[in-house]
Amino acid sequence: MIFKTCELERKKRVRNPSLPVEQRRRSFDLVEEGFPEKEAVSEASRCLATLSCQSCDICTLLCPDLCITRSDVTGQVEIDYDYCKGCGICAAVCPKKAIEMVQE
Amino acid sequence: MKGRPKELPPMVAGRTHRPIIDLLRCGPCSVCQRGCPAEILREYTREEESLRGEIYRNREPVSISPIGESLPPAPCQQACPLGQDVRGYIEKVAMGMDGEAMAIVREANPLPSVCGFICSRPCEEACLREWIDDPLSIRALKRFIVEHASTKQPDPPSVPSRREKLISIIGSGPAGLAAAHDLARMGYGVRIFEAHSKPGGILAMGIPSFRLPQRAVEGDIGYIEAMGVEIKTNCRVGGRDSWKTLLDDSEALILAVGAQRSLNLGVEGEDGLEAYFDCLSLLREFSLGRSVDLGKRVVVIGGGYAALDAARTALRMESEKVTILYRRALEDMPAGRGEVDEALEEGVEVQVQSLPIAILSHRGRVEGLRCVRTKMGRREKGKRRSFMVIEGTEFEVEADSIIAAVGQEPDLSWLPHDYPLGISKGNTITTDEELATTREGVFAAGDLVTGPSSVVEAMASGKKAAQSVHRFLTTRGSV
Ligand SMILES: Cc1cc2nc3c(=O)[nH]c(=O)nc-3n(C[C@H](O)[C@H](O)[C@H](O)COP(=O)(O)OP(=O)(O)OC[C@H]3O[C@@H](n4cnc5c(N)ncnc54)[C@H](O)[C@@H]3O)c2cc1C
Repeated sequence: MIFKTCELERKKRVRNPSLPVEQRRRSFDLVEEGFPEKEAVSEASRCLATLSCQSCDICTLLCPDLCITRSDVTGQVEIDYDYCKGCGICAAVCPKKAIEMVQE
Repeated sequence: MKGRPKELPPMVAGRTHRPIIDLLRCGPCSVCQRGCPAEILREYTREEESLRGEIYRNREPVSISPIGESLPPAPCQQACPLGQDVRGYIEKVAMGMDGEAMAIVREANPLPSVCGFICSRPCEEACLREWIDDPLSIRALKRFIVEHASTKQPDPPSVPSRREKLISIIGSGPAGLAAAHDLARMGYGVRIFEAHSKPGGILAMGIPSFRLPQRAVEGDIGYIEAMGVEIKTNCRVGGRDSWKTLLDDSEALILAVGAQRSLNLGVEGEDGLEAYFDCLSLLREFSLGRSVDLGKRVVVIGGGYAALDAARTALRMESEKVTILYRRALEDMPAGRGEVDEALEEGVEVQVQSLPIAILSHRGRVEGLRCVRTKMGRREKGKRRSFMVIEGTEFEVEADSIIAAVGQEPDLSWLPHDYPLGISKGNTITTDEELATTREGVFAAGDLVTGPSSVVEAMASGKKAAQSVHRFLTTRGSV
């Protein structure tokens, strides 16, 4: 089972490129350039809506072995693999599809 | 099923979807209630070591209304005058689904291309990421969507007309276009009258091409025309006759003529000078591809979009030095921060807290300005900061030409002067909450009602007027 919990990380904004200042004098060309595909996807992925685990705790509530917990301090969700029997309920109910079952 | 008890301290910020319960199908199994994370989400605010805690810790909790009422949307969406589902389309971009993103943008925004270039982006100011790093580049992402999904744009709907007569709109700026778009989508026949040779208002006759390419304006307008909206250009409405025929021929009327008359500086020696320009007329000349001789040293007075655009245009002409004089501080400029930074980068000189008090001229030609320094007052919420003149700080600035960009008001010279429309002090049209004027069946929208605002606000106003017209026609008939 892989848990993609809270990947919220600090990441500076990706800015779209702009025309070099020297080229702007005497020219009416567009100053701001558009995002290339890769940068657009990378910038869009900073949106909080795209985070996988939102700590909704549904997995914690529904885990029959009570082995999923979330830290109040760090917000990290953890699975205690010593007790997890691999039933897959958590992966099935996760609304953000943040849990993936992988073969042992 | 019972709703949440009201007295629980509520907190949800940053919700991405809204659940709607179909009460006919709901057997009260209460699984949703037991599994509902809403209570638990409050703990976001208490996380001491996580980045998420950092975002939410110092924010006022958003209140959850009881089940049955809708919950507040995400901060970016709340900040947008059009209420666009920002998170919705950004998430689609992250997933590489540009076509779907475009459909979401289209749903609420009648001028998506234009907004991708020059929106004043209140959404970015509201973005929660600001608390941990930087707000998202939402405007640039919108531009990405429009440029990448344009081939996948949905076909413009074309619906048979609901009425015999057309709805007439005066002015083809963002307000008029947005109203036309929404009315056409509801199935009304719409006709826009535009005084100039090109539709778009300030978008076509003001904002320079280094910020907004005309293909973006034309693309958005083309889409609206394909919906069946007719735009009559070179058609200035005015005088008693054209006004009366228009009223007789229309189901309803929306006035959206903007605020396009430049205000005077109101200082000594202002009238009839050579090389003294009003900003909007000048930008219009440039938009039409005509060139104007501004000389070597250009001084622009003002701190709004128009002032910045004029200065940056002057910089691209033969000028050697372009100076902006602004009476308040840099952060008080009504133009967007991005535009101000770009102008500084390009070499526009900005003298803040400088108030012109007289224009210096020789034989009817501009030579410079006399100014005084100002002191800024305290910041008050919801108000522009006040400033005071500092005595004994007079100084002079030399200029070969002066561009005044100190504000605009609506030009109402085309209205018959005895026409019963309420007009306010600032020459704006008075309306009720629903944008109805004092004359039945006549509505007003955009800068004409609010005074100079922004493209999104003008669009939101136009959309609201469209709703009001629809309500008026379905409840009361026609003019
Ligand atoms: C130079 C400049 C730059 C700007 N940059 C930005 C920006 O980057 N971002 C942003 O959000 N906002 C910007 N703004 C503000 C924004 O452009 C305006 O708030 C917005 O265009 C107002 O829309 P509107 O439809 O009310 O009026 P307008 O856009 O002014 O359109 C009114 C239209 O009505 C027509 N008209 C007037 N009288 C008649 C008549 N009698 N008969 C027929 N037609 C008539 C006019 O020709 C015009 O086409 C800028 C404004 C200026 C002046």
